[in-house]
Amino acid sequence: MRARERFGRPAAAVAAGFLCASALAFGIVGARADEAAGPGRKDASEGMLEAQAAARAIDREVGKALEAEGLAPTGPADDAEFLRRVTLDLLGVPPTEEEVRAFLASKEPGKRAARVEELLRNPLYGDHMADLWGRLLFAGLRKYPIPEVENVFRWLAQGMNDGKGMDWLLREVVTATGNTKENPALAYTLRFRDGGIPADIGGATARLFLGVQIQCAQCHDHPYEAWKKGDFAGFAAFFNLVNPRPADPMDRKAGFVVEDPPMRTLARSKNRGGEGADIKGAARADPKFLGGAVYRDREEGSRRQALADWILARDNPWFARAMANRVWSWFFGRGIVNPVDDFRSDTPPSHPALLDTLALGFAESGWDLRFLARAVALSGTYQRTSRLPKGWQGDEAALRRFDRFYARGPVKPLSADQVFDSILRVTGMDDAFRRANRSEIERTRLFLLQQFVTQIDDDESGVAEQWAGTIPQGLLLMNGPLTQAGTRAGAQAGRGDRIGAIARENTLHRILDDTKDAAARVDRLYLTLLGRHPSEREASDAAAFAVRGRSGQGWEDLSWALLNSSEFMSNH
Amino acid sequence: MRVIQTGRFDRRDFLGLGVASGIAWLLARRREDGARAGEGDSAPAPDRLPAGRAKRCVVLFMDGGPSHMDTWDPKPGREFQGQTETIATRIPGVRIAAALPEMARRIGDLCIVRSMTSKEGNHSRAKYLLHAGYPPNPTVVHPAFGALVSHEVGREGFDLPNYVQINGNNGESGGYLGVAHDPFVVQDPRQPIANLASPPGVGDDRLDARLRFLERLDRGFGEARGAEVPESRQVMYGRSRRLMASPLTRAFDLSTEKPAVRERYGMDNFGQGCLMAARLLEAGVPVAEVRLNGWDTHEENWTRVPALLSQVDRGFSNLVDDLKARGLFEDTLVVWMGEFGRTPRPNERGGRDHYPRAWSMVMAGGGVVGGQVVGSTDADAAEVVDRPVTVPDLFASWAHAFGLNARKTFYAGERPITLVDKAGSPVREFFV
Repeated sequence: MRARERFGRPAAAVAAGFLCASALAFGIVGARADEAAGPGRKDASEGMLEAQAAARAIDREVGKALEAEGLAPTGPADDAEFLRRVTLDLLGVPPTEEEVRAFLASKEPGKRAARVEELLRNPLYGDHMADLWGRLLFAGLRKYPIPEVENVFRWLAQGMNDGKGMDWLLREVVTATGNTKENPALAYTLRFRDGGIPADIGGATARLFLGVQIQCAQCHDHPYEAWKKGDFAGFAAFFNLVNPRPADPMDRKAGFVVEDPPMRTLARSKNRGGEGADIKGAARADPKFLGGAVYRDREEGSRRQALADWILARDNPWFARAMANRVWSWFFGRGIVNPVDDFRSDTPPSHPALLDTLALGFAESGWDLRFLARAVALSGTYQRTSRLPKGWQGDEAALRRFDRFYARGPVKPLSADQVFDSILRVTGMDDAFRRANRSEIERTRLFLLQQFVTQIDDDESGVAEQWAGTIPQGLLLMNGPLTQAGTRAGAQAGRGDRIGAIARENTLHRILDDTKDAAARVDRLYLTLLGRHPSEREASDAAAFAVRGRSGQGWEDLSWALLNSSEFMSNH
Repeated sequence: MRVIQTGRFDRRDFLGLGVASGIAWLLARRREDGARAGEGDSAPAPDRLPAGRAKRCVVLFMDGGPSHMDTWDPKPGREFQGQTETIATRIPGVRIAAALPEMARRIGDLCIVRSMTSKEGNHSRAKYLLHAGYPPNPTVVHPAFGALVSHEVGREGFDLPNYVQINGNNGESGGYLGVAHDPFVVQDPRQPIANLASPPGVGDDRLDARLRFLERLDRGFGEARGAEVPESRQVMYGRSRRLMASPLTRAFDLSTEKPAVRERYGMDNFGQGCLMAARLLEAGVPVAEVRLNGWDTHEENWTRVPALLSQVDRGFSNLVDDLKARGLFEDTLVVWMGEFGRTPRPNERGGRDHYPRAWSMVMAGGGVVGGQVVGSTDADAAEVVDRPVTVPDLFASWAHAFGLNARKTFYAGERPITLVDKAGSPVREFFV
């Protein structure tokens, strides 16, 4: 019952309270009141002001909790630490050697904020967002034919780079119709084609977009929450009439078609099964919004459109919070509510006012995902160093508490996509890959991802909580073709392996050719692979290791070790 | 040998058969059992079943859903049978597909279950069910049975992975048990294991020097930012390195096997997978799964099924023989199954469609009593009429075979989940 009490207030009161809280939080009462009524994205400078206000709100709320817990946070990250962290978080790859050097050398005030803006305009931003949302929304998609997978990710990346909002993404995937050949958003529906409609797609939609695990009520009334079986059936019923069918039963390559049945005939037929009798799972329940009213089919508009309208309505208590929480978790490695997609009475937010503030700011920005990215990236909380103060090592429980209250910068593993893209980038093979023919790249990418991504690909929670790696992952990183080609100092080994043929040269070649001094080489390798200068001791260790043995081999070994290091394989 | 199709008639039939076959010890057991059965006990009492003997298992997974009517439960003379030919076995009245002559010869080792029944009729859901013993649930990922065996029976410091899946993976994983129990997937048994060897020019000394320097780098990272990341990564590198160095990886290398042996199994991926499974089990791996694709015979059922069966016949029969020759058969559970059966009524395209309502599976070894058929279907193989066996029953039986506590409770987050779905009970007929 507690969930109901929390969210069950009259909608208007929720909305009003929601607005008030945020206006106060941002310190922008008055001027904003009128505009708040009408959604629509702000221009960049205005968006920046709001994001800065939200960043201050983050620091204020996190600061309050730290004080209450008696925890002293770490100091600010240095420029190198900040640059690598924010570049990995926004682009999915670390900065290049040149970027690190230029950023460290810059004396421009406000260079961090400027860099955040540059990153948000970099096309790789869209690619990375497409990886993040794509993994979540289209899990299992890697099993699809390559051209279609490519379409889906390209479409998603394009939307993100064009600054499309979360309302766009939600409407696209939840209400998608047409042919998969023309509408990439159908990948979400198609994912459930194999018997998952309406139950699984309904459950996934509630979980992914609302953070509500109503699918537990598919089999039994929820043990802790107010959800009943009827709630689940009612929610899933919004998808009852969805029935993907092959565009041409004789030709598998013709794609799949999804249409909304004509409501006119459906609404008229006495037994609702009439028109939909041959539609799988049709009309077993009446559509009902979560904790709300029964929806009556209308002649205009489909059930799924009605659902999208309801999710995006300003008085929907879940959507904005769930999305803000999800995006937060990408930056900090954990949600304000955990698990990120399971909002219930026994998973209360660690920083409730902060979550509400971010959620409202997100709604007011017109569901602009870059608003959340800016707010987080500009905050002092995000810009803290992840280096532990003396005395925190060893006591795991204390350290966990330290991290839970954001007392230091986040430390999190790279995702499989980040590992793949980062290795290509730092070894300088990304250019070679881009020059190579497109299907070859996709084939190679799939081939490599397949070897260690199964787990992550199917992990819809989107937060990698486990550090433990599998043996195939270990073998791939130690001995795999990417590592081999990327850490090769001599001429191409000539074994004609797939990657070696694409990447005839790599960064290590170039560094060894251009730079002859051992200390300078070490410096460049550190900048390239770890995004920072080595300490004195690190530099002498590395040089000693690299110059031993036969020419070139030691440098290969050093690159290999840096590439496999925890420092490279995590964002910290 | 015996036939149990439940009911007293079959018990009598069995007794006659037992005497005829002259298997005295089995006969004695059956009499005892018959007497108990006569007392009318219904609920199988696990504590009264003989203790399980399985220490390892091989699952031969028929991906796509094999037609039960065209394999282990034919209905000769019925309209829907189509062109499938059948052959007799040494169990009177029991016929199987003619494309399984070697299996027919080994009927004494087989427990054919003709009364499987389930509710999942689409591939991915049914495959999940038959691997995990639970239907898919979006809030939790259940471990595959192989992962459970890896967790319960596998050795932690073992060089080889405890759960090996041959011929690809369909998302089966360690689930809430963690990635340490994920299957180690061999995509193609005829190829070397991917990335198992160091790159050319990187010998053991060099690799170990690399790893030592990596450890040094990671120590620095751990001191600055906490040991959690480097420690778990070191575990991964350690396990990978141990595998690279282990002489046991020979088990994966079929090129070290005699050509005649390889050919006996069939040079297709399934046959070679069965051979690899036998080698892995001998090397100490507790679970191997060999997949055979192509059973989704919506079209051309009567040409595709016999072709697949000829692979099964070679691979399965050689596996049984080899396990016996290596002294492993008695404590190795061999399972042959797919995710469901296929419609008795043929479709218009010369195929059969998905049918979870009634289907067949087969077991051998591991303490499961061979030479028997459990359960039966009606005249058209459409309904189970005797001794229905559900998927949870099957999993409970495997747990019993391994001596595992089916009620053992795991926690996926805060959610309690038993090793086997509580709806299942071990099938008595498998063990006595």
